[in-house]
Formats: sequence, structure tokens, C-alpha cells
Amino acid sequence: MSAVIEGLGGWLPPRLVTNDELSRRLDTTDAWIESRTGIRQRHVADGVSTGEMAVHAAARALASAGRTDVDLLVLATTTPDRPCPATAPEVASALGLAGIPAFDISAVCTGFLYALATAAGFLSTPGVDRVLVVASEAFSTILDPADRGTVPIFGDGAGAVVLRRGEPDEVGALGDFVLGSDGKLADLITVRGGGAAERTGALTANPADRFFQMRGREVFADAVMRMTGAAADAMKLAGWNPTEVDWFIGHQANLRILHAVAEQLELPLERLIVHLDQVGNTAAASIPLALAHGQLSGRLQPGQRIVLAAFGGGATWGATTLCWPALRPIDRIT
Amino acid sequence: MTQNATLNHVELLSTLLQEKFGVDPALVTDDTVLETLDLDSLALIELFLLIQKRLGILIEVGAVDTTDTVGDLAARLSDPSR
Repeated sequence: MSAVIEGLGGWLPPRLVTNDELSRRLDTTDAWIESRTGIRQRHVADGVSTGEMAVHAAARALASAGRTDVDLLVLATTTPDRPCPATAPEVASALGLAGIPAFDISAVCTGFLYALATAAGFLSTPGVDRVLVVASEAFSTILDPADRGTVPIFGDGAGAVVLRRGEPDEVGALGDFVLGSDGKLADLITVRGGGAAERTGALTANPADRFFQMRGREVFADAVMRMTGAAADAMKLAGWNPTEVDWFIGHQANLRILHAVAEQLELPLERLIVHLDQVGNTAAASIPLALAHGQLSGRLQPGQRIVLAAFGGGATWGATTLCWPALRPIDRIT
Repeated sequence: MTQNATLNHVELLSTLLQEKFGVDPALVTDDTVLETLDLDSLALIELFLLIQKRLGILIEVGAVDTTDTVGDLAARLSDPSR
């Protein structure tokens, strides 16, 4: 049994913020942002919620699959609409799927891969024939608007896939998953406040704790090494040589991270799908949005060998392989 | 480690800096401060990753900064435990 991708959709909120616009209100420049990250622009939710973006992307994925029903909905997000309850049940209800199990997964930028693996596991159980895996992020809602270190990096949006039960040799089949975490690195990527630690007084109050913080240099190094290691392990499990890989689709955090991973894996840079220049780092949504971008642009073709890899807060990391499915064309992700 | 080993590592770093960042080898001496080579903090990490891939030597983030010299980094290659 393998999980097979049957549908794909992406949704970006209409508000576009360019580097030039940011340079007018933050002490930064387009040249600095682009040279440091590869990012030229990002979409910002601007009043559209994580749940609403998830519904839009999921609806497109269902239409892509030609389905109206699934047996489970898993939503990967770092920015749930509320700390309680999870956002997934409301998303399921909005899609006309009230009654199915639905839950959130929290693994920051690794969230989509964790969610895919979870869905693949559920598909091996009776009664679960189809799963909607959604990733949706309104990261702009947790950023300090005055922080030139994070505001230029992150963008908002949502992506989704429909998975069905299938066979390993099918076009669209996902390979084995390589997943990991290291809680000793928990302080690298944080929103420290807003949780139980703050409410019980276990956390010393600091105004900055309301906002997202990241230790960029350490994250860069760890992301390259963990994404490289996980991708190499996933390729080994699939029996693939790096020369047999058609596309590497890494979590879209920073172009220089993607280049460094390609260098470590000895993959030509032309094998990278790059979407972050247009949408920034959309955290858990970055991989499904990059998949949708790859399908929309015509770069991804049925039967091609794809490696996915991510690193995120936790710290968490993951990778898998897949053979690209034959999907209906995607005509938009905005 | 001998001073010769450190000087050889300066040459090695010069080669890597030219290959990875297009740095003119004439600018790379033992005393060259890394930030004067127009390397930002991420570039230093990219260099550490390249060193790890090519030489199998791990240099931890923060062990060498852009305000350090090429010689400081070369010394790390000679003795990573410093």
C-alpha cells in the first residue's frame, strides 16, 4: 500500500508586498533581501484567516481530484485561528465534510511532511480511503511588524493535496518517510508567549515573546544538514541515485539554503523548484505551494522522480520521495 | 600543528573562497579580516558547509565570525577542537 496524490491545489491571498514596499517602512533594501534570501515579494493574508485560506486551497485540491468527499482532514499550521480548538474541524465543516475526523498538526515548516506521513499511515487503516492534507499559514499575524529580520522572509498562503490509497508502483505514489526532531533545538524558532508557560508564569515576561523569533544563522546550518541527511536517507530508501532525481522540492525558506542542500547532495541547481522568490517562506504551506507552482508552470510532469525535504521549528525535519502524478492542469494559485 | 600547516590551510581557504564566492586570491592572506572579503554571516556558514563536505571538518556556527581573520579560520582547520 502507498499513499497516492490524486489532487492538488494552492491559494495565495491577493495582497502582494514587494521588497520595495518593505524598504520604505523598514531599514532594509530590495538588494539586501534578495541577496540574502532570494525573495522578491510575498503575499499577505491581510484579514483572511488561516482557516479561510485552508478552505480555498482544499476546495481546489478536491476539484483537482474530481472528488467531493474524503475520510479525514489533516491541517498543518503554525498559525491556527485560535489556540483552541484546532482549526481543522471548522475547515472540514466549511467544505461540507462535517463528521469526518479532522485535526491540526504543528511542526512549523516541516508540518506538511509530517501531515503527509500521518495521512499515509491512516490510509493503511480500514475505512480511510481518502485524506485531505492541507497546510495553511498566516505567518504575518505572528511577526513583529518592525522586525526587518523576519518580516521580509515570511509570506502567507495555503496548499493542499488529496491522497488516496494505492500501490507503490503507481504514478503519484509517495515513498517512505524520513522524519525526525530534536527538542534541544526548541529555542531556535519560537513564538515564546501566548501559551501555558506564559499563563502559569513559568515564562519571564518579555514584550518580544508575542512575536516570532528565529536564530537565523544556526537555523541555516541545521536546515542544510538535516534536509541533506533526510533527503539522502529518503533517496536511499527509494533506491534512487541523485542522478536519477528529476526535481528537488525543499521547504522554501531561503534560496541559499536550497543551493547549499543541492551542493551537499551533488544535485544540479537546475533540478530545484524555486517558488520563494514569488511567495517568500510560507512555513508549512511552502511545499504544497511549490508543488502547485511546479504543476502550474508545467515543470512537473507525470512519472518524474521528486524528492521533498524540510526543516522547521521544534526542531523538526523530514523528507520523502514521490513519483509525480498525472493531474488535471492547474490554472491558478492566486 | 605547525605554522606551515596553517599557511597551507590559508591557501586552501583561498581556493574555496574563489570557487564559492569569486573572491580574488590576491586579497586572501593570513591577516585578512573575513568581512573585508564582502562575506555576510550566511556566506561564512556556506563556507563552513563547503569545508565540511570537502574536508570532513565540522566548524560550528559562532566558532569563527566575520570579524575574525582568514588565519583564525585556517587555525580551526588545523585544530577543529579549539
